[in-house]
Amino acid sequence: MDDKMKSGYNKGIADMLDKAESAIYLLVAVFLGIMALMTFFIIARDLTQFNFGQVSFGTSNPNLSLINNALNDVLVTLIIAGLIQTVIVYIKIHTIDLRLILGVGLTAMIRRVLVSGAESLGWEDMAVTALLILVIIIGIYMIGETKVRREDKDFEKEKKP
Amino acid sequence: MSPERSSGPEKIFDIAETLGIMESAVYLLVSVFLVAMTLLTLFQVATDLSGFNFTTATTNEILPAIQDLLTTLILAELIQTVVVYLKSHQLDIKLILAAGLTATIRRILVSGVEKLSPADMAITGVLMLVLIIAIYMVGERKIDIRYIS
Repeated sequence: MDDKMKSGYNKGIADMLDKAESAIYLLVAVFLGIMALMTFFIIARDLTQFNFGQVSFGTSNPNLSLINNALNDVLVTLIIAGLIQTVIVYIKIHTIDLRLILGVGLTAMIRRVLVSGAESLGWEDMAVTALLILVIIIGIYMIGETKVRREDKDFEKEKKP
Repeated sequence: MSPERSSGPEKIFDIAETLGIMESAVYLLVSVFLVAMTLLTLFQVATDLSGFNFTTATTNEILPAIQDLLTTLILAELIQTVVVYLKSHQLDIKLILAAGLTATIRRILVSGVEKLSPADMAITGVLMLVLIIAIYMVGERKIDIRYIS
């Protein structure tokens, strides 16, 4: 088998995988869309339980914990939105934006901080949450504009006579 | 040049050719398995979402589905690594590191549902820091297999 033939086989497999990958990303986007709608439904359902006649008694106010829960749910929606954005960026320019992935992690950590407002977390948990937030922020700063781009330049070069 | 002397390099060339065919076959099989695994994870996501109860569900029940979907994204990144290798014969380290970073983010999401110990979380943080430093240091570098072989 000569190099051209082998390259042809490889190209065939790569093209097939390309199509499969696009289909996978499309399916992922569909599932993410469904999940986003589900979270909106949950938020709306929870907010309908808001009692307008409730008198506020500090943190023990049930309305406050309801809003806290709804805020947590909104952050899950934001996590999903971050993932949808990652998929959109990939479909459009075949690039994985690492900042978006780190952004998803940061939102999850902020959600954890919000939970600590309602439930009491131990100091170790809080310290580790702070450490993780710091690491993610360092990551976003260091990675900056870095995108993991799929480069097909060499292959295009090989194809040209 | 005697036939004995010329047969040595030719034999090596034949072995290299056979290995080349095997390599393509291996990559084809890897691709098939990766795609099959991806489809299985998507099926798992659908199963997770099918248990959704409209009257009592909370967003904590959606988080496992998001985790499964992140597994799908990790697999998609590995498929991408294979595609890049087949097209340019280069191992893109950044893609592999990005898959690792996605896995650590998945672990962080787990902490929203399951109770992870502070030690687990701390190790996840250290792991993430190492991956970030690696991505920063690796930059645009790639391992070119053509020059190695």
